[in-house]
Amino acid sequence: MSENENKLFVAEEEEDVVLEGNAVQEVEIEDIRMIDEDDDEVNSDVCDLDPIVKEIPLNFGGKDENLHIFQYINKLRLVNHKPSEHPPISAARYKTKSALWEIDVPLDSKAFFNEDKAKENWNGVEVQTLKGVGVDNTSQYAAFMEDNQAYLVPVKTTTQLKPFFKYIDAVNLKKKQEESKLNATPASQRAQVVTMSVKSVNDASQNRLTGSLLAHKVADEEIQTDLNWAENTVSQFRESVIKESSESTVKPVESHEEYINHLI
Amino acid sequence: MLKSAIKKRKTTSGVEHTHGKDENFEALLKPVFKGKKLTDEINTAEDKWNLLPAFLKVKGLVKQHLDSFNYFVDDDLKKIIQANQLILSDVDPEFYLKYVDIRIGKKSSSSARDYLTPPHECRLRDMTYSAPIYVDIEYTRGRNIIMHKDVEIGRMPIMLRSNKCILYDADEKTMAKLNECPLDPGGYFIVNGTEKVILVQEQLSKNRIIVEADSKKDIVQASVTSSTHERKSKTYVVTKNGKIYLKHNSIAEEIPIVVVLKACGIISELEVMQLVCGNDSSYQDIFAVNLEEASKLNIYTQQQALEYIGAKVKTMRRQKLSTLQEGIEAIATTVVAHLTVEALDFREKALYMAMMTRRVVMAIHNPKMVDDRDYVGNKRLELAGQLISLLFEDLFKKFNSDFKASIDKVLKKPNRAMEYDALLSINVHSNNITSGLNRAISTGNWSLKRFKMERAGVTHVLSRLSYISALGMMTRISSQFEKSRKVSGPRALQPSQFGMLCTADTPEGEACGLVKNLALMTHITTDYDEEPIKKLCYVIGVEDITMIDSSSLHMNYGVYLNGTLIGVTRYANKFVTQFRNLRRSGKISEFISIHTNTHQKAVQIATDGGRICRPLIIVSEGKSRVTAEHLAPLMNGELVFDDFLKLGLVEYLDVNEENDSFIALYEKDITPASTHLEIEPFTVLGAVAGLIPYPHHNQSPRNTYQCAMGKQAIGAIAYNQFKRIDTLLYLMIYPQQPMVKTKTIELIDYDKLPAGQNATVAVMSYSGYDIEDALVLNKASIDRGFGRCETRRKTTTILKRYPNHTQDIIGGMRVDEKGEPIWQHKSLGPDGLGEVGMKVESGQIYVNKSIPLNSTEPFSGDASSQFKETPVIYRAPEASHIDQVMMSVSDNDQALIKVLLRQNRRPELGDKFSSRHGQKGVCGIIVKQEDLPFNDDGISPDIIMNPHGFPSRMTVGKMIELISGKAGVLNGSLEYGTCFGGSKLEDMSKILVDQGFNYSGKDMLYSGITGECLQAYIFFGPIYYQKLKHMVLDKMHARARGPRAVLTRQPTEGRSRDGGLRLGEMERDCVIAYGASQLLLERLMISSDAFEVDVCNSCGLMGYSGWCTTCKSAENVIKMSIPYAAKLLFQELLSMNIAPRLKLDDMFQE
Repeated sequence: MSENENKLFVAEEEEDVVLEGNAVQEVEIEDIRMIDEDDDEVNSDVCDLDPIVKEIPLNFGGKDENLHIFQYINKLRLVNHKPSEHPPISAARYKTKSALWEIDVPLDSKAFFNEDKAKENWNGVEVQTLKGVGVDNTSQYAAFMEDNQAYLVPVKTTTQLKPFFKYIDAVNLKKKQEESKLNATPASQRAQVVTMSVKSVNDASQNRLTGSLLAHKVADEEIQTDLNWAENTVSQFRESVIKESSESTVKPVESHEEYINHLI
Repeated sequence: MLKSAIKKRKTTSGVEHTHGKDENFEALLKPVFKGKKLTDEINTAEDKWNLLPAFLKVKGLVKQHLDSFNYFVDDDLKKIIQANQLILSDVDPEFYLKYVDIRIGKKSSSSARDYLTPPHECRLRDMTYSAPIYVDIEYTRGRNIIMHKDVEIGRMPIMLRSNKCILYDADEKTMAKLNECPLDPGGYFIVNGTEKVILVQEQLSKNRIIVEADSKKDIVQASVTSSTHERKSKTYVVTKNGKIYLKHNSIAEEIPIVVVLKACGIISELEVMQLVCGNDSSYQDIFAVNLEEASKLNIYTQQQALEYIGAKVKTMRRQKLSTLQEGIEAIATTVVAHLTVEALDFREKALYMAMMTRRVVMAIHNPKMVDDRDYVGNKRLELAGQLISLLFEDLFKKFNSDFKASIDKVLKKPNRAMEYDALLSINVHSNNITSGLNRAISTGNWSLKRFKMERAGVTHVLSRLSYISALGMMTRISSQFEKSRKVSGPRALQPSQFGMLCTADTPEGEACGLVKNLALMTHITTDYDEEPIKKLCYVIGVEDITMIDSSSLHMNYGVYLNGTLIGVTRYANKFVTQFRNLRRSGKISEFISIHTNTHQKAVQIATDGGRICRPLIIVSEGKSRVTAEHLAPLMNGELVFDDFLKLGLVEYLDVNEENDSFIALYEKDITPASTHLEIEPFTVLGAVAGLIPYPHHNQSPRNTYQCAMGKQAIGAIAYNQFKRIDTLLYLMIYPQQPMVKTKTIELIDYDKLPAGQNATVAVMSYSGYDIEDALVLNKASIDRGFGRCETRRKTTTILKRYPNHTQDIIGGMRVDEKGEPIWQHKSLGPDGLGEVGMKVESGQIYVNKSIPLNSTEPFSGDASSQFKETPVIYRAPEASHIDQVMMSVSDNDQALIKVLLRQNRRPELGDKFSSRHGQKGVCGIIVKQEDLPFNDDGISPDIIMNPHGFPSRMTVGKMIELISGKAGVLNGSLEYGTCFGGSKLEDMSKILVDQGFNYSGKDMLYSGITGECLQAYIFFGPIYYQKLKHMVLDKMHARARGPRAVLTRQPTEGRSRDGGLRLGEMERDCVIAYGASQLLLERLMISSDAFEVDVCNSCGLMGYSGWCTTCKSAENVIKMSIPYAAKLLFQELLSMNIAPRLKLDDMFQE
């Protein structure tokens, strides 16, 4: 349960990020890192391109947090010249092994929504499902500012959430099944003699699925975990990170030279 | 930094010098060189050329071959082993065999390398120069896991002078001890005694998008040839009726691109639009129509798209897959196969497809946004290492599957008495690898099962005609284009070739421009791991592509690693500068290139192998980084070329990065914008074109002609030339180094193994035997050894052993009644082999071999009567001398006899000569010295050349060569004719004037016949002349009667078969026009294939001996002569059910 909670925190935190526009956020993080790690020489080189505006103390925290970033690919950044709001989430599902996220967003039935069509064609669909695969991330941090200090929390995975028209596929599948029932030829209905043979070991090895097919199969067979979506946990999250980072100070363990060598 | 580098160099120099390969290169770096002392002021503009010998010292001329082979044996083999690491049994799930390590020619237990049969012995004994391949394996025997080291799985042919060769780093003494020439560059293989080169193959780069447009058909296509270790395939994104589709060989139809993107998980049309077009409204307009296409097909979801594609896949599979699975498989592995998706996320693939589409859209919008196939930056060179690697992996896979089959066979048996040891059956198949490699290299047929690839003519016999021809072969690059096609694009001289591929050296005729040669200072890269570079990019500020959303993708510069988008960067210039700084500081490999493509808003990083690159001096802030303080230690030998790389003074650029740079040709041309400086401009030429003095004064095709002829020149081949037994060897008796040298000549040691002589040439007319470029030769010069050469021809005889224990034998000589050997056996010794030094004339025998009559049935005693003489008879117009006789045993235990016959030849009428300016001519007349003109000093020319050779050929370089040569002779110095430099004409004229000669090189000559002085001043001086291999003695041919072909009964064709001289179609036309019908009859029938036939006048068909088989009568049969070929034609027509009937008439009516 605690893990679930953690995840939910994350989703909440993510909301802020998304609202600011994720690309922008990304770059900010980079810039902060630059100031921290690069020596002055490099900075002076690029000064004209990318001047230093301000130096900000850094704090690291959230060691135990599982921070997953959601990118709502299809969400508009601006609606009516205002930053668009985070979509309401009605349900969230997760497959741990395949890192597969599914999130239900209730459809906005107020405008441009043809209820009849939804009922008629798509079994009265009410939610839009967003789906995405979490990609492991090792080099990114999410950050927030508090008292002119930056707090960095490592990001575990990033996920690009995209619409996934489950209801269309469902309807299609149904249609197909009906069709095959209707078109059932006498030949297919006739009783057939089935000869059973012991499957040889040879075949088993050849029929092994590999690569992406295997991944899909594993994902299909994996059972989803239903998660609760918790809102308004950001302040709590911030506090915990601030508290955590106040307990320890960050010290460089390597010299600049060593660090660069280590990187390459 | 510089000082520390020098210091470091000094401390290690002791080690360096022990294996310093060439004293010659050292000589170039000596304190006093060409009159230049250490104390002399160092002029950076002049002396920076010293980087070139320093480069060649580390790289050598065939370094590309050696590097690629070394990479293969050291790194690539390990990767192949890793990729095919496990052998599992289908029968016993417990069983496994794992390859842990692989080594060539060295056991893990011993520190030294295995003893290999030295290469020269392999040449002589028709063996393969190879080393054992050892693997360490780990496998199960029963319940135990067993480690076994140094299991030999075959033998690998070893490239000479590679790091597995015994000649690696050998000094001159060791080379001499092993009968090797220290100047021999290596880079070839010895397979069954013949030297084989794997020519460098040029190909379009793999895994890169190439966009092309056909304006006539209104087609734009982006294609990518994917190539991995596993598979090769080609994916196209093409336009058709203004819409964009995906095309692939294993998908039956073209798939609308939006469907493909949807199948990759880009379901939202907004996202599709953003990925392909970004914010550009003109792109959006072009692309919008494609969105309709998908909705017309009612495809909205990823699953629908995958099923749509899955239904169109046409691959054969053993395993039945659902259409959805087929679709996933197609998208994940088949399309753009080099980006194989292993997991659920197709994002990488989607982006790649979107980028391909974007490139197509860009090309539709602006037709200039297409790629050039012929651009050198879009080419990759495939070298020996890569080719062998492909072959080895194929053979290794075959080996493993055979091995597995035999393991399964044993393990299948339910109750075995003993525990099965897999090691026992490993040796059974080891011959497959050995013979597979040998066969491929010796035949040149590269057949790879996994790519279904069949390529012929990959290897060639190393041409040992001259040192230059061997060297030229090692730098040759052959292209995959068909020679017969008349295309101009791939043959044209590309501006991007500058400094990478020689601009002059290409053959004439059908392969013109398709076969190229490397320039002097080039390097071909080997593969370099992508992963660390990718990490590095992220570290220096590239944003990971997995994090980028579609809307912001095209706002920034994309960063591409080997053609694949890995991220974006906002500050492309800053990123590129940082990356370059890291490369210059040696943090990453110097051969990784990076450049910005502003048109495509892309930063391209390349780490792949096969790119041509060359070193350039880095210029910063308008100043060359290489200064006098660097050049002095270089010339003292305190610094080597690699130090210049490490110090960040010099860097390698490939063609793409070159285009991103601003390179100054000379130091004086440097502007604040310059980024690089050429090391030496004459490196635009290759090794072969580098022989030409003053080539920049010649008309360009003349330099090309010389490149072809330089390879045919007879000269010294190698220091071990007299120890070699080659099929045919031409050697010059008194070769000389040229009076007018070039720097290239010294660098490639042509002055040590020259092919030509300095002839004193008078440019004038003499007699009438000098028309059409014929030369007049001085008989006295010939007597003194001018143009004298030697041919050495080998014959190999094998004494076979037969299954019934009989074998071929050598008989002794036969003697007449006086005890003297009979004439045929005169040159034989008592052992039945020719004696060294004996003269052999046509018809005489030099190996008296006999073969057993009965070689199949069991041996029945009475040995003597059962042999038939099959002597090796010498047949040639001129006698030869036996130079060497060698008897040995080859690989398969059969006796091997090699006899080398030598002929000494002086120039004669019709022998071909050429200067180094594409000016060839045959000897027209040989004149006594007393009849030749002479100058004030009494010097008469060796060669008289007709002045008509100059005006149309415009070989001004030859004239300057003469003046420089003459000045050199008078001054006692060797002059230089280096391209874009060399001795200045003014200086040469000054020397001439100072020595009392005319500044222009013209002398007053006196006629040798009348003694009067000639009316004009004659251009007179030394020019380096080459004797070409085309000699009259090898070509002269006549026939009165002789052998006929069996089928047509016409005379055979060709000199080697003692053939007739053909009166061809055009000659026939002349004879007809002239009306000489009887001559025609005689030439075409009587002297050729006249044949008497019996023709039946009633049925018109042919019978025999006065009898018509059709009419069953002899009544109307008439005898007549027709060509046998005509009779054959009639009969062949009859066999096709066509009856040609002859109607006969009296020619002369009474």
